[in-house]
Amino acid sequence: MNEEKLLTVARYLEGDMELQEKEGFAVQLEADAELQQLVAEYNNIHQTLKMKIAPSVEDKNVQVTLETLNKQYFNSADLIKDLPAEQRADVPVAKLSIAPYLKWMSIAAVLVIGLLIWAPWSASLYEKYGISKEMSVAERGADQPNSLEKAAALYNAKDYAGARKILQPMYMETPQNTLLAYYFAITLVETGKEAEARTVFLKLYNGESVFKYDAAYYTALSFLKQENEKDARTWLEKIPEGTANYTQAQELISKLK
Amino acid sequence: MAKNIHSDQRYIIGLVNNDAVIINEIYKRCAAKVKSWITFNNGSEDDAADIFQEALMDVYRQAKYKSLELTCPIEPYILLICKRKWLNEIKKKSILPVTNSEEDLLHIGEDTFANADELENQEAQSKLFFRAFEKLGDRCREIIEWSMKGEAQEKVAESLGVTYGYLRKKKSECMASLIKLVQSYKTEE
Repeated sequence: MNEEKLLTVARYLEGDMELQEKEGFAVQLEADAELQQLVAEYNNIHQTLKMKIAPSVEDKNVQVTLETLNKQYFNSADLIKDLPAEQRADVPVAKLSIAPYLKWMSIAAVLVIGLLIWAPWSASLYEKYGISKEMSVAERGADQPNSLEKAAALYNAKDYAGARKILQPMYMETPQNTLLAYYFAITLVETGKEAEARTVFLKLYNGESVFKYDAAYYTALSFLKQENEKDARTWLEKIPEGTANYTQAQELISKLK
Repeated sequence: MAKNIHSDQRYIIGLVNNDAVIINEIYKRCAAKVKSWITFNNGSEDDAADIFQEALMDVYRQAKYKSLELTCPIEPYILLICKRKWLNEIKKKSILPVTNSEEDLLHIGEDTFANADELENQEAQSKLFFRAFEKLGDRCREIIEWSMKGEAQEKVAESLGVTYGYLRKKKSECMASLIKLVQSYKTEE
């Protein structure tokens, strides 16, 4: 009985039925749960085998990509073989250029260090807990190096209105540049356009850049600047443990109580 | 059943799309760790490379053909898959592992285990199907292989020296016996 059914399912799925028989089977299939299960099992087996037996061109291309990367990541090891295993894990693989996010990470790191050196004097909480006092442009935008530098100079001189004037058109042109977006948004906060700033921060926060939690932090500060402690708090609480601004965010939360 | 898909699903998507930049990121995040763990456990560099590539290929296939959904971060997921693969490998070669199986993985979440288990199950299934396939007669294997490769039926019939009608009939029969074999294997287990 099962064998008979199996063969019918196979003939149906392999297109080995005349139209009339096929339509008849389709009707039968709709009412028969056991048949449906058999069809599902058949398809699963067919699909699974197909990926083993007959890899598609795309499958082969992925294989090629992996082989290339494998050579880069596994055979460069002669140089570091003598290190103990624990250290080997940490040896960066040569030949690979540093991904852009790493550069930004280092920018962020510089900013954090800058913050530690910068002694916050008594000021409003907004002033006191501000981060990103310095805009450093280690990585220049290839097409507009000078304007970005100029903006950074103005920014660092606390001429936020001047910096904003330069950053705004640049941001409009390349809103996907997260570094640009971040500093532009700060100049918005500094020049009293908190609400506009928050739309930019929100985009950053919803993205996955290194500015994600900086943006959350600054959103909180923008509320603080407007003396909206409740929303400030909500945003500070979004900053997870282990990120750069966590300690500061917690400290600020305690001040808000 | 709403699954909580992890944001690292983007790596899976990148892998499926053969996006070299994203795949490179996977290597950057995981390769060195896999390498040091496997070499620490009596494997060679080449073993590590093979295991790593195999693991990524498994993940790729599951993602592409079985819509794999990652509910854990990618790093522990890949590491766990590679570790299990290597432990299987050395069991075969009867080498003793240095690190006890999964004791050093206490810090990773349950989700990671569930994800890795799922992949393992799928792979085990795939192996079982293939075992059944290999049990088929030469003719059947040939016909199924041709048809899965998407060759035109007329051409296949011609090169096998049979009529088109016969080929169609035979193909259904072969597939039916394949399914039957799989079912009998499953009940054995």
